[in-house]
Amino acid sequence: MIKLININKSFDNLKVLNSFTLNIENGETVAIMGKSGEGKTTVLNIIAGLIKPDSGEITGVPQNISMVFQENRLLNEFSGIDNIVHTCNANKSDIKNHFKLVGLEGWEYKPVNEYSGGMKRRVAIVRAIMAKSDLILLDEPFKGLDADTKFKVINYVRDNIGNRTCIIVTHDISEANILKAKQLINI
Amino acid sequence: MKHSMQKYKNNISLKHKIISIAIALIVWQLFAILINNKLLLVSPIKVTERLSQLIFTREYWLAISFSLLRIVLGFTLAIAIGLIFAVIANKYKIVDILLWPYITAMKATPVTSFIILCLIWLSTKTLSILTVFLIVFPIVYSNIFEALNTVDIKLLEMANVFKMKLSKRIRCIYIPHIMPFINSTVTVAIGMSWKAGVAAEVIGMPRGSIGSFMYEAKLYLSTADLFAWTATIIALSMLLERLLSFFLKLTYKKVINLKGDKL
Repeated sequence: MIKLININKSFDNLKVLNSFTLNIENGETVAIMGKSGEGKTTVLNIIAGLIKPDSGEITGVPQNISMVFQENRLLNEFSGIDNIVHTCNANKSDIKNHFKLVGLEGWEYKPVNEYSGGMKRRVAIVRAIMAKSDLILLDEPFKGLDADTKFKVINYVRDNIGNRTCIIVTHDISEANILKAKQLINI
Repeated sequence: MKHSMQKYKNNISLKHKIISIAIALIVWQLFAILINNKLLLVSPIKVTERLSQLIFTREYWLAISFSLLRIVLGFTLAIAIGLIFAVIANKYKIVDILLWPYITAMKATPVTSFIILCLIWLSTKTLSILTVFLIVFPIVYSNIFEALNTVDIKLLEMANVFKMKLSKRIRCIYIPHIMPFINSTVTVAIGMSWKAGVAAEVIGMPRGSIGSFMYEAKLYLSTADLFAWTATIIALSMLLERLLSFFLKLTYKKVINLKGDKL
């Protein structure tokens, strides 16, 4: 079980998290919701180990984490398939299958700096899903996707989470519902 | 396909380059006719004549190989050691602090000071190697250090989360970022290497070097020889720059492996 106990975090004297507590069962999908600037991304970054809390305790975070960041954070000079290969050590034929599922077939060997914003987002999502992780962190993963693609990609994520723990930050409750989130946390 | 290296591509087309060279030669020829004194300004036609004589002499090619070997050696050492020090300094801030006085002094010291100092330390034959090294090293170190300091922190965070291996981080994050810096550094440094290397040879006069032949040209007031050797240096510098640029682009494409290893 992942436990965040009484987490406090401030940025330049601005209190972002005030005694924030969260318990997540292994294999559970949790949605963190709330207004912009209220610390949703901070929670994910603390769990990912990217930032340290000012105080509080974190336990049970698995070693292997994958993440969709707020920005795509792709290797822009590399092809879509190489982005996955170099970060996840995944098999190329598997990657092609995943690309097909999110509507990126035919784009596998093109450099991602030729992709549209929505296509880059899908590569970032496939990367997080294909990584051998026990915990998936999704920070507004479906941002910038058109309605049809968004629906397709949410279903892709739901079908491929498996029994991994997943924490999603979103503004859209329907995303959390499709992903069958057991907890809705409002910050 | 827009690689970041292409940002640094020269925008003047080959056609325009040829036209501008032709105009520059015409202007030079007109000035030579106007001055009408081959001691002061020799015409491009005379320089071409002299160059066509020189290229059939053994001394010409021996001088080129003598100077080229030493300048390239000094340049290569500076690139390699500058790169190593930049990587270490990026990892350990103390190294950058300790190197700061040397780098600042090396950047500000006139080339002639280095040459005279090197003359005291070394034989005239190895003079240009150290001179070129001392000129190129601070440029390489500073530029690569700057490049490493500006690597996208968000990509490094991503690499941490996904536990990317060091070799993959170097290949996928560091090399694509520092390659344009290396390309521009090499372009600037190669020209400076020739300037510093030949200047060292003119002062140190190692037997059989381009610099010693230029010094002789000055002694015998042979302006045609001076211009012919200068044209040779320009051509060598440009050729070397092109070769290095081609090699770097090739290496970069190999590193990126854009087509991927299709199954």
